[in-house]
Amino acid sequence: MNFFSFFFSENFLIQSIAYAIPLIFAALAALISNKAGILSINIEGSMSVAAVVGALVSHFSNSWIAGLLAGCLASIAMMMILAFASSTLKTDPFLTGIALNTMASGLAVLCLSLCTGNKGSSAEYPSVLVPNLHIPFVSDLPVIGKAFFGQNYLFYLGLVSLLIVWLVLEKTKLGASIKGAGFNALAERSVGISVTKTRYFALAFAGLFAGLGGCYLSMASLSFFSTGMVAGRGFIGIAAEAMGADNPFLSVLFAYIFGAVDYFAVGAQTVLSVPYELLNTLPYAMTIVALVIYSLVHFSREKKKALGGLKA
Amino acid sequence: MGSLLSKRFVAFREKEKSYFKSQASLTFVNEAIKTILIIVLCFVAVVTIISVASKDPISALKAFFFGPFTDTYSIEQISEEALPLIFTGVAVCIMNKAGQCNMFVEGGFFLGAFLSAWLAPELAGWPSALIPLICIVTSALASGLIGYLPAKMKSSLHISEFVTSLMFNYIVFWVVMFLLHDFASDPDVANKTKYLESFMKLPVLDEDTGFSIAIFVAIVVAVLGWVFIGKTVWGYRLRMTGDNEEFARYSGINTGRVIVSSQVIGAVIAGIGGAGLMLGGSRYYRFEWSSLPNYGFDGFVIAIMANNNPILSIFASFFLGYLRVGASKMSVLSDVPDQVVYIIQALIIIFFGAKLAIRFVKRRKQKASKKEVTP
Repeated sequence: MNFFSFFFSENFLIQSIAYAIPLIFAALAALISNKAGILSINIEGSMSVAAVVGALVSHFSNSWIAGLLAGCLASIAMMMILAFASSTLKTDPFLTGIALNTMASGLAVLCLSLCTGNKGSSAEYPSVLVPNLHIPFVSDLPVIGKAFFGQNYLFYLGLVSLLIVWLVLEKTKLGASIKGAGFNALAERSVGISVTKTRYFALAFAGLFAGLGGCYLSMASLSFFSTGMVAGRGFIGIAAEAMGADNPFLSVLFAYIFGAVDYFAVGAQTVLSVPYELLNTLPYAMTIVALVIYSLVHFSREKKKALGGLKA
Repeated sequence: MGSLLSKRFVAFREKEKSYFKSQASLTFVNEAIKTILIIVLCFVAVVTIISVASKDPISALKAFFFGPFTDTYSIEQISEEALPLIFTGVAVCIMNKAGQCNMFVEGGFFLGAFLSAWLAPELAGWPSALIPLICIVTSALASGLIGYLPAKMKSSLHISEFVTSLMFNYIVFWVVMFLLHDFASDPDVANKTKYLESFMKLPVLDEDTGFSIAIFVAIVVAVLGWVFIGKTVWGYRLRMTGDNEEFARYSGINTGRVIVSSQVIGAVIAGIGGAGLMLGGSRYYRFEWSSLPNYGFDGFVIAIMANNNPILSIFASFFLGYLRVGASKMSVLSDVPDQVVYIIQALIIIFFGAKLAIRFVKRRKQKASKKEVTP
């Protein structure tokens, strides 16, 4: 198999979407919390807590729905700590986020070792997997069939979430107040909307998405939780959101691109004679390069605007 | 007449001075009481968590609280745990003071540890006083060099240093893994660097336990950091930029340079820290980490506890070191895993963060009530 047939294969399309799913959820979580004016960097930690809770609950209850629900609830609970600390106790959300990430890494291992007696992974207690979609005939279409109609349920949930986020932000009162809380919290308070309540709502949504992303890792991508399995995906989601400039569709698009690079780093190991360690740097290097390009383009556009202003 | 006025003026100044002094000591006492209260609160939380998690909470708690003081080895263990935390804590303090949120302390520490462990056995023929010195300088330079990249991106392209430095951490991690697997590993032991003989490491004070002078290096770095922040022109520029970047720029400070230099200094200290731990830690004979050690994030815990003061970060590091030794004792002697300590750390940050906020809100309330009194 050579490089081109790897890159332009059906498998690449399928797998790149599969690798992008957790990043899509992370980007949505980052988006909605950013819109409410709180940069929640504990998406990373919430994802790992959700992953461990989802995997264990699904194993012991023998149901992926229960696992998914429990994982999301755990993730929402983590986000609620952030909401309580930053909105009610008025701590710095950035530092609290770091604290919660540290807490999450401890909490995940604590849960794991209390339930399974193993600190590394829950491989002996396999989780019940979230199934893949299968529509007769449609899913069997060549090329696009499996890539678009045969993915995991969570992929479609991600697309629905994207639409819901967009609808909520653009078409509802709640969305307007979320954007207001991020844009100018004092102004929002002055017209009688509770900024604190709005932020609680937004962070609950963010927790839900982070939870779904985390559960995908341990309940669909793999069949167990292992420590450190989130591996910076929450942070990459935040980067995708930054690249997408607060636009839900662009953010998800960038999340997909990062996911494709992520799969490229794994899949190209068999076709390229580059050490896998160096291939693994790709998603991160690509994030930095993308941010630099974005910033350069942004700057030149700003300059043009300024010049245009002068002419007029 | 003039002399009388000046006398009254001097008396007024004296009064004013003593007033501010008493205020300062009052706030100091206030702060100390609050800090102690927070620590007590954390301990209450610890007791609750352990009681829930353990079947025999009393012996677990005993191991946790008194275990670290049972023998000299355990006490030296505390200082060993504090060693990396002091370095990363001071690095984060300096960057925080400049208002920068750079996470590269983690990667720089990792890189420093790896480079020093790789380089030291290669220098085996050199005088033994020079080897650690060369290793530490190399680690510091390498870490500073990479730390320059996110800093420069921040200052000239306005890219958030938070995201880029995180990404650099992962890149550094994988590149180090590549070098370790393909070039630096010991031919006899896979995926570990060559054995560090005692003459390659920092001088040892206690032959039995391998307790070395590294902790004093850390304390010197912390004191130098304090002098730099508080007593030099550079430090003043740095604090001004951190307090109000716009104002600093308009008063003629080259804020771009301050942003870059503060992050590079932080990365350099992180590199020194990694090398110091590898060459001064009694438990380290080879570089064998296969994941990021999280000391960079711990640096943030230290900086918050120390209120961004490098001298106080020494004490904060020893406190956290005590907690960690206690947790590891407890995990050996009872059924509670030592990850409990991460939960305690998170609580400490949240409580300390809330403390700062409460002070701020109080001050604003006082101001508001004063405004109401004066028409």
